[in-house]
Amino acid sequence: MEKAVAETNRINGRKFNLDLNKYGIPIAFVIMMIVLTFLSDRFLTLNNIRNVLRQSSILFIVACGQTLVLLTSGIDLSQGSVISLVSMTTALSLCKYGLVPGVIIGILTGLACGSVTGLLVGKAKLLPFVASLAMQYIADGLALISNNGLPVTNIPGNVINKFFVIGGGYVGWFPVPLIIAIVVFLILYFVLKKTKLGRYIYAVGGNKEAARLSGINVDRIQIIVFALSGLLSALASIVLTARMVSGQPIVGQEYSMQSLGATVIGGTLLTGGKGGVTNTIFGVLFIGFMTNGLNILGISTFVQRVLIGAVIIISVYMTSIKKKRS
Amino acid sequence: MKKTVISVLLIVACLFSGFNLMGPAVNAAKDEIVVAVMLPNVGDVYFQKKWYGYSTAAKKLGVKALLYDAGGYANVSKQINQVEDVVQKGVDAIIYHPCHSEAGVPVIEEAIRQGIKVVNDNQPCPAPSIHSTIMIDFFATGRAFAQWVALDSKGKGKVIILPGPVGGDQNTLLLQGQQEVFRRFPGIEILDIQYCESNVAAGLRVMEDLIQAHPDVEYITCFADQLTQGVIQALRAAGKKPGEVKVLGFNMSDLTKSLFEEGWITVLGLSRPVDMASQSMEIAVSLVKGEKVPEMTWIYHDLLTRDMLDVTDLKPNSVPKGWKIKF
Repeated sequence: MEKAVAETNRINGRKFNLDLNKYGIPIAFVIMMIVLTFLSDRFLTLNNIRNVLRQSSILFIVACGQTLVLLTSGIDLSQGSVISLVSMTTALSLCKYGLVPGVIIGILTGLACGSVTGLLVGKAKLLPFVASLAMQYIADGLALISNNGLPVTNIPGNVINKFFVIGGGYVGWFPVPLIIAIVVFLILYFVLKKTKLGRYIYAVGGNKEAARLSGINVDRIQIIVFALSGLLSALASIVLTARMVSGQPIVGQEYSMQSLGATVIGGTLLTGGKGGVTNTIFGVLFIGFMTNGLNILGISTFVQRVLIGAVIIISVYMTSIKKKRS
Repeated sequence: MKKTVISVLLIVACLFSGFNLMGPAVNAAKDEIVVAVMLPNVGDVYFQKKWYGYSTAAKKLGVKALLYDAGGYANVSKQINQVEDVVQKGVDAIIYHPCHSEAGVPVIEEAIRQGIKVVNDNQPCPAPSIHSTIMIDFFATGRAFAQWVALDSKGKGKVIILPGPVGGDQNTLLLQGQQEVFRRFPGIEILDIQYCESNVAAGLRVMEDLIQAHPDVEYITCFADQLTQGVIQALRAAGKKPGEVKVLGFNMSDLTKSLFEEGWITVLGLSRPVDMASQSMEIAVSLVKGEKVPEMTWIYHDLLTRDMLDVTDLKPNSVPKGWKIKF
């Protein structure tokens, strides 16, 4: 089947198969990098690469959670609101209890939100769209209620100095958010490729009924992926809150759509069963470098939105062609 | 096959990265001063007027102004990324209107460390190294609104306060200024305080509900003009007549001006955005040239009522007819 999908090309008399559907995004990514490098001598510098990797780390962590949910043919619309809520609970807890309890409370908040959404999907049998939409409203409201709609800016100096390292620190050349993102990637890559849980996630996304008949506890898998999505949103929120040195009640608003966009651009199917965190890397980096390049070139942010939308359309179109052919 | 493709991609990427991985080849040879203008919400007419002021002043001063829009006050993280990107671009100065004051402090400090001059415009940013600040005193605006209401109602009005987007410092200050005055007038009843986004749809939605809950409202104090427009649509739909509920808002788009002339808006606070933006640009360019600039410049809203309309110069508050942002 793969061969049927592959395009046959001939260069220098040698025949090779290039699956454009599979490598389309990586190839487009490299072409984009080349074009932007020609257009600006500020683009492909070590400093700027580090800058984009640091910026993209937060979106990557969130998008990994979305990837897990999409692989089971679900969708998590609550990620952005969970980010806002965790930003507030973390900042408030940092003020009251200090660094470690603050971070733990933040992580537990995200995990709790994700678990509730998972239970609504897995046990109460609500559609993922509906359950996560409901959680979006609840988390949004709680984030605003937590401090009467005001940001938390009075984190004590001794706490904020250490906390800032999570979002703005470096280990050698590497920004701390990037290191966190790499660790998240390695764990999830291992889980998806080498563990029973990973195989079950793909199986549930591929065909729920078949997975159920083969003895997989589908409900439990759904609860786990939503809980992990909440956990990863919380982790991203803590990095973001550390970058902003304050808790913000509406900071996550755009992240749900961004994580969906990045995951879809990467090639993970909305219908589940195909894709993974490696795909998501390309989706996130594509958006990250494109936005950065356009910012450096001074291209309007209005135009940037149009371009990101166009990339999503092209990416989904390519993925759907591949699906139809197979 | 997979390995071949990945290897080819990596080699191509490495070849091209060899261009300038160690930094830009052409760095110092810059003739033109470049100023990045970071705004929170260019969808709002107020910021479009400000962009007119920045770009016109830049043209006059012979410098290049680049516009960066966060796309809404909630997009704090996006604006931080934009600041980081313009630092990488190597601009000479940044005019910075933050989405939220505290959140951008680390990146602004980093920009200053990289030698970029920073003018904080309108919304306070408490970065200690900021070179110059130009600011509307929203606390004073809040006080002025409340004093006008107290005077007009002889200390016995029923008020709804719509301070705009939640979390913004200027919105908080606007509210606090009003509360500071109102608490001295026990006869004035604050019926409700509702935060909402600064756009027509949000103003309409919030006011439609509030008018059901408080049909006896006499005064509404609003954040910027699009929110005010939404509020007036809701009052109109509820069967109110112009002036029946006295609306106080600020900024003046064409629509707001006609609503003001028709009597739907009783008091408008005008902050002369075109002038303010020109002033910001002049300060930024002076900083780049090493000239002395004021550390702090305060701007105050002028309160305008209908009887003052004909005798007030509105040019600093408006753009020429037909002018549009070019993308």
